[in-house]
Amino acid sequence: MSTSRLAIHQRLVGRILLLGLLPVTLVVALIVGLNAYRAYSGFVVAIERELAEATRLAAAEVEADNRAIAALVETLGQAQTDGGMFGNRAETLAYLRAILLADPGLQGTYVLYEPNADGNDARALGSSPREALDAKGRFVPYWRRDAAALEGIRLEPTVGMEDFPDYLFYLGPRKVWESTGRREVLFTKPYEYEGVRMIEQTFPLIRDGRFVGIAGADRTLDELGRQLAQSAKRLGGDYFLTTTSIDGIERYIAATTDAGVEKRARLETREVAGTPLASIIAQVPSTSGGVKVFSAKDPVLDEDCFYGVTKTETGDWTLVVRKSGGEALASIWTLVLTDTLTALGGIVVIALLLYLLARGVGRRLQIATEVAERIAQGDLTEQLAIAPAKDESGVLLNAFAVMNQNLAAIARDTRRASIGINSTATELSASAVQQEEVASGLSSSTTEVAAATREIAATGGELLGTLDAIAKSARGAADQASEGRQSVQLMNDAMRRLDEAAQSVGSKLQAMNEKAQGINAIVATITKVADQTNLLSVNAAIEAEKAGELGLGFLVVAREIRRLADQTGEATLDIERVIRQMQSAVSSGVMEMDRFGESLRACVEGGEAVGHRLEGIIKHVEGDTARVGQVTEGMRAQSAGVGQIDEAMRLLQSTAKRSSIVATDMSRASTALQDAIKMLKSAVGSFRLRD
Amino acid sequence: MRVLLFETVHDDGLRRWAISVADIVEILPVVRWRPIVGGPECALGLFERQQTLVPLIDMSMKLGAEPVTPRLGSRIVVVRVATAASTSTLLGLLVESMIGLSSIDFHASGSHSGFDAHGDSSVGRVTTSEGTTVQLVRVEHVLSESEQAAILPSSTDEAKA
Repeated sequence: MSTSRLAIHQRLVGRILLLGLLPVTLVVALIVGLNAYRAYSGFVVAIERELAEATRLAAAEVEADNRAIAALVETLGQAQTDGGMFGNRAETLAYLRAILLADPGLQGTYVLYEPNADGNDARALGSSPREALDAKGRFVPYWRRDAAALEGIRLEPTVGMEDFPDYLFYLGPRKVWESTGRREVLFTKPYEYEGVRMIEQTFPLIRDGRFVGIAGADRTLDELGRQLAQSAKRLGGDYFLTTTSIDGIERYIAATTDAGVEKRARLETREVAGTPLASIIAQVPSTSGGVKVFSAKDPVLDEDCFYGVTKTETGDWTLVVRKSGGEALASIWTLVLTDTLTALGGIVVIALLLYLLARGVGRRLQIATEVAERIAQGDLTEQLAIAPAKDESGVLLNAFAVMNQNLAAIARDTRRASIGINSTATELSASAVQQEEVASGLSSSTTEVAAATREIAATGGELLGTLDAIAKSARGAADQASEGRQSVQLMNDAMRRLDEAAQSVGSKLQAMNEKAQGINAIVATITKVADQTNLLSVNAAIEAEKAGELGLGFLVVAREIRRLADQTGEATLDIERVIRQMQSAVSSGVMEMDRFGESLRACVEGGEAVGHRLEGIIKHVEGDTARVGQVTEGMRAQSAGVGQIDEAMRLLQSTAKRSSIVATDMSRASTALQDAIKMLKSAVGSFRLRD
Repeated sequence: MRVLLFETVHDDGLRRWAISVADIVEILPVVRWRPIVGGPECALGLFERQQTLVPLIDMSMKLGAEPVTPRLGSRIVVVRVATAASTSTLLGLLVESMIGLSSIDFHASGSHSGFDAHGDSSVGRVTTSEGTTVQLVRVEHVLSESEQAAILPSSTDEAKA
């Protein structure tokens, strides 16, 4: 019951929540997703636009600086060739000095003549300042910054510019002019000179179609880096500036960040090829002024970045601006998070409201269902309170309550009428049945007892006969046992006599053995005598040999004695052998007699034990005979008692039979009464509830 | 030649030897003797005969057999040997098994010198008798010179005596 109640309640709440919440959640999720996507694509467009703008602005600043220095260097050169300053060394020096002092962005200024280009080299050695000349008087002044010098600058000669064709700041403009006929400012590769990293801008001096020298100015890479850093600070992102000099190799000029491989200081003047950013820098558009914006995975930062790449018109430098995509994504994530949290809050509120609604309706519906179920089962005990209806389900519940009360009233009246009569009839019937059962039980018990007593009587008779037989056989056994005892006694006496005879035979054999040993001693003596006789005969023979002819007769006697001695020895050996055999026979006879005597003694002991045991048996049998007599007497008395019990039982049985007849009559009367009550119940059937 | 025959027991069986009757003084049963330590290996000790101590030699050892184990047929053959000082003395030879007296011709055809070229070995000629080989024992060479020096009484002893 409780599980079904829970099931109905929960099912209703669950269904309402599902139907209400699922669509809302889906719609909200869709809105959040779309919003995030739109924001992201808008952000990408914006960041690309911003990046293009930043690239363009930074490039424009670099371009402005490059143009300014190009103009300066061109002016310096034209002042020499077109302005008539060529050959006027003092004025040139003053001019160079003035320019360097005026522009703090410059590292140095110089004008370098070909050897004796103005024809004054030899003369100049005496007049001009030595710092502007080489050893032969060639005019090669170089004003450069030196913090330790007066006014912060100093003059020094430039030497070896032809010796290092690799730098090209001197030979480069000449080569360009000679190959193309153009007079233009050349931007050299970035390089390090006396500890200062710099880049040079030089302009060829052409007089009467002949190359006579160059004019130029230096900028430090530090200064360029500083300017780039200012752009980065203002516009955001990382900046990289590279140039491809006339040797065809692209190198870094400046960068605002560690490229990820080495420090920024090392990146400057380095070749681009081989650095991680080479692939990005290669994306530069071929035409100057155009900006290419794209996103790619940054090989150093290992994340998606946006890049702006462009080329300056003057100097043909490449500028790369990099912005991390992480910033863009971070703002998108914030947006998505805010949206999601708001949506979740809304969904929770909706779910709560739906739950409260479903619970109220569900509970009332639950009660109505339970009441209906109980009425269906015929249970009208439930008291439903009639409450003011809150909604449609409340009205339904109230109608149930009224119906229930009316049904209960009808049923109660009917039941009250029938219960009283029925209980009386039932009691009557029950007592009649009980009495009948008691009577019949008594009857059967007495029958069983009678049968049992008869069986006991019969068994007692048989037992008596058996006991008589036992007594008779016991008596017979006692007689046989006493006969056996006498026989055993006779056997014992015979055995004892036999034992005595055996002992006397043994002692006689022992005496024989002793006699044989006496004979042995005699034989030993004879043997010794024979041995000595043998020895004597040999010695006699030897003596006879020595006596020669005289001893011949004696020799014969000695030989005969010896033969007799040998025969005696052999005879004694025979006697000895016979005696030894006799002795062993006697010894074995003595041993046999001993063993025979032991067996006899064992027999006698066994016989005595049998006699004792037979005696015990006889005593037992006699005792048993007496006891069997007593038992027989007891059995006889018991048999008589059993007969009396049987008689009494027969009387009791007839009484029980009479009582059983009376109970059967009473039972029949109560059955008639119950039939009457059944008729009354069918009469009140019209007051029952239909299913 | 009249000889006394006796046998020694070897690993490969019995060997028969002969001593000339002329050398024999007397034959005695095995009497008790006093063992003497430190002498030659074959010298068993001394025994008494008519109040005179006589050295006893184990003939089985002397003839390359195991030492004598005294039994019923064992005897002491007392012989007379000549010493360096041209006197003579008695010597007891213990033989394992005495057979008896016999007449054997050691120079009959078929006999052998017994590898004794110089005539100074302790054993001499060999011949066959009654189906057995018999070798003559030369009593005067039974002891080697060093043994004689150790065992037989010296001339100074004789002189004192």
